[in-house]
Amino acid sequence: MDTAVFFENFLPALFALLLAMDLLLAVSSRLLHCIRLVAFQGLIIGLIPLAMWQWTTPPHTELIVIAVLNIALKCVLIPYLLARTMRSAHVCRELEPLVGYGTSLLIVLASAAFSFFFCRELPLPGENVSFLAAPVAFTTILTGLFLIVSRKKAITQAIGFLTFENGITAFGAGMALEYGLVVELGILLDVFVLVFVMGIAVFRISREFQHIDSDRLNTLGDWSGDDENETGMKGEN
Amino acid sequence: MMDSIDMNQLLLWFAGFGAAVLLSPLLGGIINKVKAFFAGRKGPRVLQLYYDIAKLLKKGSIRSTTSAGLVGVFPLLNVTALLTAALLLPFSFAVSPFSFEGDLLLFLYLLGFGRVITTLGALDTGSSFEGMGASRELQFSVLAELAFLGIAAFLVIETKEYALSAMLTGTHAGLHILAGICAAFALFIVLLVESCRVPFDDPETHLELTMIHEAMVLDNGGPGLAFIHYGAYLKLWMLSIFLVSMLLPGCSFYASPWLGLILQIGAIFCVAVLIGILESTTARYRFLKVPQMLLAAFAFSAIALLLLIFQGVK
Amino acid sequence: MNLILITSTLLLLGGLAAPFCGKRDSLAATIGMTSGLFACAIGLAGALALLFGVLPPATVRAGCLSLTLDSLSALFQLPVFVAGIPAILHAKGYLAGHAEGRTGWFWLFFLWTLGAMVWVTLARTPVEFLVAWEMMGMMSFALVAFEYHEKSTLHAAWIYLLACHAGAAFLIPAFIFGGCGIWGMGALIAGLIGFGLKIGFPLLHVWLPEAHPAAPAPVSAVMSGAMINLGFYGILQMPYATDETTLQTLGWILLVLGLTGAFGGILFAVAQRNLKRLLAYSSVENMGILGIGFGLGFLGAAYGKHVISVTAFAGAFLHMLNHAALKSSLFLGAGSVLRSTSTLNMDRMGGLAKRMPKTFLSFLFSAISLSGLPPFNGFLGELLIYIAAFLALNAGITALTGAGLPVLLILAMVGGLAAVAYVKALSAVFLGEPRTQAAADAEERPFSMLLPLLIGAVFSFILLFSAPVLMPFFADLAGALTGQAVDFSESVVPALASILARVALFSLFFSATAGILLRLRQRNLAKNAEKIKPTWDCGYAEPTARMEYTGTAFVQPVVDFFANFLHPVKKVRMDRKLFPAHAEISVETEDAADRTVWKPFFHFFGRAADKIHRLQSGYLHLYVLVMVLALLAMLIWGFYFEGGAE
Repeated sequence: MDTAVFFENFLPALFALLLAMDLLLAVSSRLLHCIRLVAFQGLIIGLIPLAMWQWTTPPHTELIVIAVLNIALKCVLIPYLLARTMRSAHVCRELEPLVGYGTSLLIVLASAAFSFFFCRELPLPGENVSFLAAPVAFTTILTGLFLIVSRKKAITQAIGFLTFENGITAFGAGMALEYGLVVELGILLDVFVLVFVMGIAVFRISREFQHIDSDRLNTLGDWSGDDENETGMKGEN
Repeated sequence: MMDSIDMNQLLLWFAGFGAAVLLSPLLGGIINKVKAFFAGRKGPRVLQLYYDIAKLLKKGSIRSTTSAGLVGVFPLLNVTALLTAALLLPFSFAVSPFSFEGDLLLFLYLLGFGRVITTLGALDTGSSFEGMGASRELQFSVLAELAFLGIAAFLVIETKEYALSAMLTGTHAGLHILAGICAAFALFIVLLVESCRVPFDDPETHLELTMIHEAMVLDNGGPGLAFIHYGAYLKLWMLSIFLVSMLLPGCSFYASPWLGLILQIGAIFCVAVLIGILESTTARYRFLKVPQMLLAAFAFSAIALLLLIFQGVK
Repeated sequence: MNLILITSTLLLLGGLAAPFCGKRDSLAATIGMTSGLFACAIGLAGALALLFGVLPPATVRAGCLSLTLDSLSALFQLPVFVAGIPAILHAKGYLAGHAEGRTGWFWLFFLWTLGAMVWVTLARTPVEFLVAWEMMGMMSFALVAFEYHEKSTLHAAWIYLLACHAGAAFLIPAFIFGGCGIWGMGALIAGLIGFGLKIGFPLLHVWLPEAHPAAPAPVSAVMSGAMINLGFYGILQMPYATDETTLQTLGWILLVLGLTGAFGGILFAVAQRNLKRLLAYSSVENMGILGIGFGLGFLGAAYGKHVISVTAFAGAFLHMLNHAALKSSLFLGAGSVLRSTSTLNMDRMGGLAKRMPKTFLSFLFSAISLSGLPPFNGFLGELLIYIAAFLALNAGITALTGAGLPVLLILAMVGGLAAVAYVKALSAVFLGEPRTQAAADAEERPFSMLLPLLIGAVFSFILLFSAPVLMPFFADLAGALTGQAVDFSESVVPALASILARVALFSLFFSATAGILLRLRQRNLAKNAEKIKPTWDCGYAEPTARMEYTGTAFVQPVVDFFANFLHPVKKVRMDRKLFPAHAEISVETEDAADRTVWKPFFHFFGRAADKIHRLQSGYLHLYVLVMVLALLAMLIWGFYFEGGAE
């Protein structure tokens, strides 16, 4: 196959994979599976700048650094931390999401349709920018937000946040924004800290309450009724 | 639409139709052979299904005391509906001489008629197993139809044609590879559901509670059962043609149309092998999972549509 | 035109004469039936003659009445007669032994309902139209309440009356504000609501599932087959402007209402236990499909795609005729079943196919056909609407693509769900073993109640093969309704006609092949007799009817899958013992609009009314005080605001 043709199709393929990961995230109940999906998303995000890079121009060291950093953090380190937290908290699946998996899939699909519709008018900044970049990135952002809203477990919410961040990075990288990389690095750091803190917090919460359902954390408030406190303390394990 | 009906084309089409009618039971043989290979057995002959059908046709039939008569009739009506629908398909790149604009719906709804009449025949016996099978079959068909219509919309937008034959033999000039792959994947899931293959239904199982299609035909025997077996593989063949025509873009690239036909049949056998491999390596899903998979099929067709629609706008 | 006048007169006089027979029921029935049948036959001939151009459109002025017959009114008269003839034939057998001494009154109301429907299609002045419309509502209200001994019937009739009045409450302002000229947007919306109440658009449909089960079967047949269509007649007859904005608004409103109506209607049909309720919800679905068709038609015209417009309109008109023939036949079949088993609860039937084979066959035919499956006529209308949606996808206009895509997907789901609903109805009522003694004792109905079912089937076959011939009228009507001055007779009409003709040919091919195969089977059976054995029972010693799937069980997976929409309420009653001897489960699905909108709405108004009720204290001086205050307020208002302007 001609290398030019290959690279022409490589970028859309990456975005399509990103979209597929979004849909899979909406329907998978196993946390480990979700973590792997997010890790794979991280890998894709890492590859996008490389795929967009014109091979005619001399290589940017900056690009490669960003790619390596992205992959190392999002594909290896954060998923590893998440998985460790998961094991230490003894949860392996999201049992009762607030929104069912079928509905979740449809919602993510609808948000994809919305993003495609919404991004239609967006001007594409460069020649080699894929028409998929903006809509897929928006879909990823929306999926992340949706996961945060609709799932109960703290870990799934962290995964949602990670997805959200992936979307932002994909937007920056996909649209070849000039100062995007610097901003992204900042966000990346945020996410890293978040996951770190969350890991500790989840561990503590699960030790104290035998569950990590964030929607039941309101039992901590002193205004909550007695019955809620009871169910909170009984936990589910 | 064809300007003039080419004799050669017509001959080719009828050859393809004949192949579909005559060779479809081979698919069952191939699938069984592949599964036997994976299980390390020798397996039945490839032609086994022909022998089975011949044997069954010679036997007498049986009817339940509860039945009002539908149970003996529905296999015939189902096969008739399938044959009528097969008239609309293109074979190789020969456009069906009977095709007209919008016949895609006739094709789909004829399959739907076959399904409805089969469920009615199953419920005719009053058996709870058959009621269970019929109930599940219809539940899944709602979502399968949704996914199928998504694929149909994809084809319509992509080829700007409204006749099934023209759609499937279109040159796929603007085929967006990603969109095409998504649609084909969705179609493959629909194909597995419609022809009751493994991740959704197990044609080999002997436990009634886990069956769908097989549970519906428990009370059939003799010629009726022969027609049921034949109908199942005819349907698989027809859907495979759908899939193969979508995936092998522009059969007209091939030097000779007859070579195209042979290639197409070969590809259909490859689909059968693929199904055999899938059946040997995966387990049947829980029934709760099946609607989700069908929604996934719909999601894939929807993505294909999105890619297609918004690519055009760009 | 004269033919239609004869029809009206016959209906009027026949209706008047019937109650004078007093206690002589059979005489009243004979008078009602003969005059009704003659009237409908003549009317059918008249409407067809006008459609096929044998007779010209005409206007008659009789006193203060001004009646006009044109092709649109003729088209909407067809369902009245197509549903009316079988219903009239069926009514005699249906009423026999159930309406002693009141038969004459039934015929009065029934014939006058038919007459009022004809009048609605003829009236041209607003006042006349409103009078006809109200008369149609009142007469049919009397019919819905005809079996008033049951409390549920009265409740249903009450809801129907409310719906009729609410409809009038919206229609009268619509007509007043609309005046005689071009209608403004507000009048348009009011008209849509008023007519939508008759059609059964989502939210406004609540009377359908109540009134249809309560009404006698012939009445349900006519109401569902013909009357609710007239709502669309009203909408199409409104003098809306045919500029782009209006057409777009109208199109989008109809499309959205149609999509929700079709999907919601069939979803709730799936969940019903009462046979006639199921059919009523299916009417909501079919009206939704009509709405989709008309909506697409208006949108196509608004965006200048005339082909889409004509195709969608033709599909909607065709589907309306199909629905009239098939649904009336189904309601009459349900009536026959009710008379044989004295229940409409499908879970208490079963096994009727062997006891009422002819009723079963006609019901089977109509049900499969109405789920839109191809060798039969129900497929045609849906096919055209599908084609219109496909054309809209490729129209190259974002709005049309956006309209076409949901139409395709929703129609696909609706098709699948309709199959579920009708397979459920067929299997629960007719197939398997009887679940109660009443079902086991059921007998086939007399010929007089079978003939109407047969007529329905005949109508639908005629429709299947005559559909291509009807295309030119549909195209003309579509052009006239959307104000397009395009000649379709060259391009679109032949194309559509050829599509429909091909479908008819495929039906023929299907029937021929099926016939040959069935014949072969017969010969095979003659040689090799069929063994008749009990159903395979997997080792149970004594399989009973209680083990088979009920209708509720059959649809349980679907109902559970769509539980978010349906909110089924499951009640399980079971002995709390080690070996429970008695267990029972029932699933009730309340109407979503009722549950989420109307009940809270009426509850709120009830409470508000209670509060206002306090004013009614019974002391005269308080009333006078209120009046004085009101007077003062008006004085102040008049003085400061109205007067201040001068």
